[in-house]
Amino acid sequence: MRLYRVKAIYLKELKELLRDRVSRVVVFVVPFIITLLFGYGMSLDVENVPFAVCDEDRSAFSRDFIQKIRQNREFFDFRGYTLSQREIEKLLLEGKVKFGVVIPEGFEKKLKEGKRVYVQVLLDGTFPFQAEVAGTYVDAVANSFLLELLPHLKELPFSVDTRYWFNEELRQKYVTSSGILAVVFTVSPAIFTAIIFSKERERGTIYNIYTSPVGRLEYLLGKQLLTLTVYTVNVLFLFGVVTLLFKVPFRGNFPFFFLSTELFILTSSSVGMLISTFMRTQIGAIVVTLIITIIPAFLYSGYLVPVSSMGKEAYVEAHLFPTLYYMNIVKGSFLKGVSPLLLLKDLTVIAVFYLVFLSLSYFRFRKRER
Amino acid sequence: MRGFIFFFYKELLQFLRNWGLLIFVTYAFTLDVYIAAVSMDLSLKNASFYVQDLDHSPLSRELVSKFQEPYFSFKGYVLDESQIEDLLLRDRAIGVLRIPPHFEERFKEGKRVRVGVVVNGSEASASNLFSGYSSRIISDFLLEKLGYEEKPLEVRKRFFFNENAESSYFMGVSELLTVLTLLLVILPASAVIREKEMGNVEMVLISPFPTQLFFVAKSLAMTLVVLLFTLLSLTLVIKGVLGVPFRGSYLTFLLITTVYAFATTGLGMFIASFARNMLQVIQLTMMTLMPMLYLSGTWSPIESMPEFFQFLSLLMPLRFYIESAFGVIFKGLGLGDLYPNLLALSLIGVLTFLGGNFFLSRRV
Repeated sequence: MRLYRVKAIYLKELKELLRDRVSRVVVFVVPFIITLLFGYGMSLDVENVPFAVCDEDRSAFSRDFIQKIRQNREFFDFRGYTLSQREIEKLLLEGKVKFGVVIPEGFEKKLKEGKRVYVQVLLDGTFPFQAEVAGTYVDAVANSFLLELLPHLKELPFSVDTRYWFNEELRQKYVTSSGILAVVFTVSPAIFTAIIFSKERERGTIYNIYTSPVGRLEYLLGKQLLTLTVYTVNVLFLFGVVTLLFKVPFRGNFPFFFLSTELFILTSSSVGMLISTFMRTQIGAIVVTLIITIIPAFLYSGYLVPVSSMGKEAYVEAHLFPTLYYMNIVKGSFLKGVSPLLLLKDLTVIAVFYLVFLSLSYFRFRKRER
Repeated sequence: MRGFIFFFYKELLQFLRNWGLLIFVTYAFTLDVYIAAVSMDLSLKNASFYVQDLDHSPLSRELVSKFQEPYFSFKGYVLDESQIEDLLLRDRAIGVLRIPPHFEERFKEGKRVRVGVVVNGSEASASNLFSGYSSRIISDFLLEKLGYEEKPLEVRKRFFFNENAESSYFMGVSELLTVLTLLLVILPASAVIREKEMGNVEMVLISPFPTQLFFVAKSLAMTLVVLLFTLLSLTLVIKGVLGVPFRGSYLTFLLITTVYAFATTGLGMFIASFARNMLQVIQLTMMTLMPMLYLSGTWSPIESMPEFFQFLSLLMPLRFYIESAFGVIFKGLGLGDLYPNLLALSLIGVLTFLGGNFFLSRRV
């Protein structure tokens, strides 16, 4: 292997990218947009849920109860009273409100007499997660309302102390926006690499390589270097977006995080490289890379579904793809502030993945047509 | 007209002969929708938790037994702080329940007891629900022990349109709409780019066949393909395997999808007119589609977005479509309820479709 040949390939690729007017901008814009959207968008914080109330009791108690829900301005957005339950159902159907509270007649009277009353909550189940969280909040409001009502219980003999570790105010935005880095750096370098490899094959320029003295490894590494260059810019930029724009605390060791990210980018890029050795066309390589990377990146990486609650099969599957290990490093560095020594294991696994993918590509890539 | 039908037929044939693409489209509309529906479950399921029980009394054990499957999954006991830290650092648990010493004794004497819940805040959705569910379980349990057999005030929840708040219904439909949109843009765009890259466009340019019609034939053929696959996915996966109750009529759904298809393939044509190669097509599609999908409320509800985004979402054709699509499937709405959306959608659709095709034929 000669370094100057790696450099030649690298420079050729760099020039090609710089001369492609659209691509040279877009390769930086797409990861940025994805991070932005998931930071703001995959926001699982439930906010401003519109609701209506049907107060059949019209008593001091019922007004008090409604007031208690309305106080949570951040979660709920009060849209007004309705005269009947039917009207709430109609509003739900039209999508004007996401839930309605029905306070039955005799609410105050029964409560004073110590009888049992039911408050009905009608929820739009189209977005099940939002509906469930909204329902839980109303539950909590009812609970605290009840506790204030029972005079001899004012001093409850017990309390539940909830503490959130790593994310003290439980901002979901912190988790979704830092975690998306692992997803972006899995999918996007893989597709980019798949394209720069399969392009030469489809256009036939690969024959120049076949006849040149460039060795197989030199060719593979030269192209990977381009991916690394492009994504190093992205890493620094997106790191800025996550820490400055989304204000996610970074508690880890930056040099360690940066180096692991670079290694991880090489790993996902070699996934794309390996796939492109099987495919003849660009569209084929892109499509297969998308299928192979997106699902493990989103579902089996611990991004949305916790790995510890996965079923046996999913649990095993999650460990067969490098994203999970990198996700550990991301979570460890951003929220948890784990020392690099503890994360060294994950880094080693990523390195092993890289070597395996690289050597597989090396054996798959031949300097002649099959 | 004969020429048009011929080109239309040629596109369909070309699509069917491209095995890789055919397999991918089939995968996207069937297996992908299924996987997303089944595994993207944001509700609390089998949340692993550990217990630090410093009391070891019957009461504390009874409390732990209240944390049941399918929501929770008890993994074992821990002894001290450092073990808790280790578990959470390694993401082995969503939370840890901490029961103080002399818990039962003090509680029976009427003294104040504090039950601790430590939640792993680095998990996305599970942490929120874990803390909500567990504090409710603890207070219900202790209230019952205090003699409140029945809570005087109870909240009864009723979910409309999706009675069991089944998350796979939503995820499945949402994924189908995403796939459908993606392919409505990518398929026509890549069909055009292929001709551009191979130099076939020149042949059409010098032929007597009008160039605009050539592109229209392409987008119509691809629209037909996507519609057929949508129908397949709806009947086979969404209704068949996932068991989503499809309340509206297929015809209504396909009608609004067709109108929507015009708007989206129009966008694909715009992209095809700018792009010179596949890399650009993919990147431009991602760049325009991801924000569109997000702003239209496919993934998260519109009212939870920042206000500026809510305003932007009004400009998206997709929003009208998503609203109507969810409406037809879950709420059983018909054309009578949806005609304002349909009208807005047709207007945007016709404009982008004509605009995209016109723009493309000007630029080749």
